Amino acid sequence: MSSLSIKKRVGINVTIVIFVVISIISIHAYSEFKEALERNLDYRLQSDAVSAYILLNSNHNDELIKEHISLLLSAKTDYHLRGYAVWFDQDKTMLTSSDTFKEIKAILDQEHTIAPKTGEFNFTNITYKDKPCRVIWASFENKTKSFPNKKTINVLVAISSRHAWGEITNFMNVLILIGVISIWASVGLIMWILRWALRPIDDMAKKMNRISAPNVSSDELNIDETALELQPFATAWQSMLNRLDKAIQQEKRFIADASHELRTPLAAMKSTLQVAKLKDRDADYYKQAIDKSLTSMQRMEMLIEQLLELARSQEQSLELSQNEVNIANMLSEIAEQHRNNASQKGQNIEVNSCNAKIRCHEHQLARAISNILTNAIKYGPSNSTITITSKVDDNNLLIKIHDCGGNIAEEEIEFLFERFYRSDKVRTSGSGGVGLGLSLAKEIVNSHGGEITVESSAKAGTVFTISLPMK
Amino acid sequence: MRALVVEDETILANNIAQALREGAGFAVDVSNDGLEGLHFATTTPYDLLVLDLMLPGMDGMDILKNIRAKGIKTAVLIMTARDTSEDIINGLNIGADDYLTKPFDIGEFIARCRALVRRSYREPSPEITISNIRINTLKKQVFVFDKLVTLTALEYKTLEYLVMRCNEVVTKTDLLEHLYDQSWDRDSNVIEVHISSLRKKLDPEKTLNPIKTLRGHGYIIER
Repeated sequence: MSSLSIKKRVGINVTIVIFVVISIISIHAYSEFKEALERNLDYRLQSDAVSAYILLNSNHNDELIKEHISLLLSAKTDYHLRGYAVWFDQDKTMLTSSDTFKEIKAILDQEHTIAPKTGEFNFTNITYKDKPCRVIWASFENKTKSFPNKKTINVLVAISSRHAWGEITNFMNVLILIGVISIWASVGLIMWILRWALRPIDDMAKKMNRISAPNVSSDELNIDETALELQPFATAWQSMLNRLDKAIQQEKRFIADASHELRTPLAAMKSTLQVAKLKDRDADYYKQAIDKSLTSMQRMEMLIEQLLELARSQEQSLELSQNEVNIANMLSEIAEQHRNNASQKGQNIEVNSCNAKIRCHEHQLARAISNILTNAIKYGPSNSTITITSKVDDNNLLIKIHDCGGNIAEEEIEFLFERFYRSDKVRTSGSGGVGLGLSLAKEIVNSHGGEITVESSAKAGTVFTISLPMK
Repeated sequence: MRALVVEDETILANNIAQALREGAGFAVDVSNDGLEGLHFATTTPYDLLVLDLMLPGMDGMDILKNIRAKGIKTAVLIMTARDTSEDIINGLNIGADDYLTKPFDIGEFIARCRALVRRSYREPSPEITISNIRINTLKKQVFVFDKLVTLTALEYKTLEYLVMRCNEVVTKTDLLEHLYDQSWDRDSNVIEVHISSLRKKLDPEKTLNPIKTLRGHGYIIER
């Protein structure tokens, strides 16, 4: 059912409803019509029976009555079966009857038709010589003087109902025809209405079809112009598109940045070598050119290394390669590795760790902390202390790296973890970073289900906090 | 001719500057910062601006927009790692004259810079002839009556600039601004010395008088 189109679903349901309604109306009309026709027949039969009785009941002698009856017998209409049957009480002997009515009486007896009470009558449908007939059997009180010992007079009158049935059949055919036409027409109408009503969906689908990367901006959707019912849908789409657009833009910028960062040292290297070749130089010049090329190459090497690291950190969130690590040991090891660098700026690294154990990718997490520490050494003031603390708080392991470095501007914090972001100051200072360290740290911490936050003020310095869930 | 290179990668910036000095004979200033670059470009009449796009301080596109908004018509070569046609179209539409993606061939770079400067002086041919003087700007050679004349580097630069602006009055300030980069102490007397030695070399018999002096105004070479 789920793969049926809305059009078909609604169409089928409405068609069924219309079919049922039309059927009910037809059945009702049919039975009303049939009843009316039968009433009409019954009325005739009844009046015939009554007039026969009146004839019999007139105070005449036997001979005259017999004459009346033979008159009756000769009466005929198009519909009437020729004749009557008249008899007294339960007599098997008919007072008078045509052969036809003898046979009809025989059919009634055969079907065990119960005789009506005196003064009443009943109707029966029978088939006589393959023709449908309706028969009245009326039973009257005998008030004639001719047959004083008889209590009741029975009168049987029959009428052919073939004509009536023909009319009923005709009526039914008409009903069926009307039914079929109206179902067909209403299905067509419904389909048309549905198509018209569902056009906004088609339109939206067409609009969506036109949207493709890299330009997924959702201006095309034009929410104000879409149908009211579709607006929540369109709005959801729009926000999804906006998110996608943002992601694509970010990715685009990353590629642009990556190519810039890779091509710039390449261009530097190439130009160094080509300028050296412009004319004959002395040995010192060539040595310098080689040094410059090497510097550029190291930069590229570092960049490629970090880009690969970044790609790997996005891949590796597998539980398998995780192991239990004592955080105190890890932090003091990292501090040890950086002590040399820090001391060149007269900086001191203090570690103040709790003894918690955490499941993580040891190498990756160490890289993340190490990157933040490198950052702290780089931008922290000379002759200051960098403190690394860790503690367990509310089932989270908090690792804080605090340096007395200056204020990071509010608007810069937002971009701090973006790939290739280096504040202007940093770029010009030639600090040698490539702008991937912090984003790599963030990527690693995120893949562990944790997060990194930064607080910075001129007074308190800068604090990077890594928060990791203890599973 | 004087060029400004705005590029934050110092090694690349210095290489470009050296290539322009040695390969094209330009006086070159270098800036590693966008804001500083914009300041230089708006205060000095450069013949060529070599712009990187990703710069600290101010983006290269913004610098370009800024100087074009100020009506500065200096030829601009954008030199960047962004290589999508979208970026190139953007750069050219904002007012750049040429676009080069990193890494590039230094020879191509020099040739493009030269062509841009020639164009900006409406002198598309690299060989310029004015009456009996023929100048090959590629080889930096000067012929008088088809005879090679040896000039010093600054004499050649002076002549080239005057020829590029032929039929125009060139003041001493113009010459100082276009022939020397920032690191030089400017002294207008030096110009007079160059002009007089140029005259001697181009016109030893003093019959042609190719460089005319308009007293109080400057110099002019007429075609």
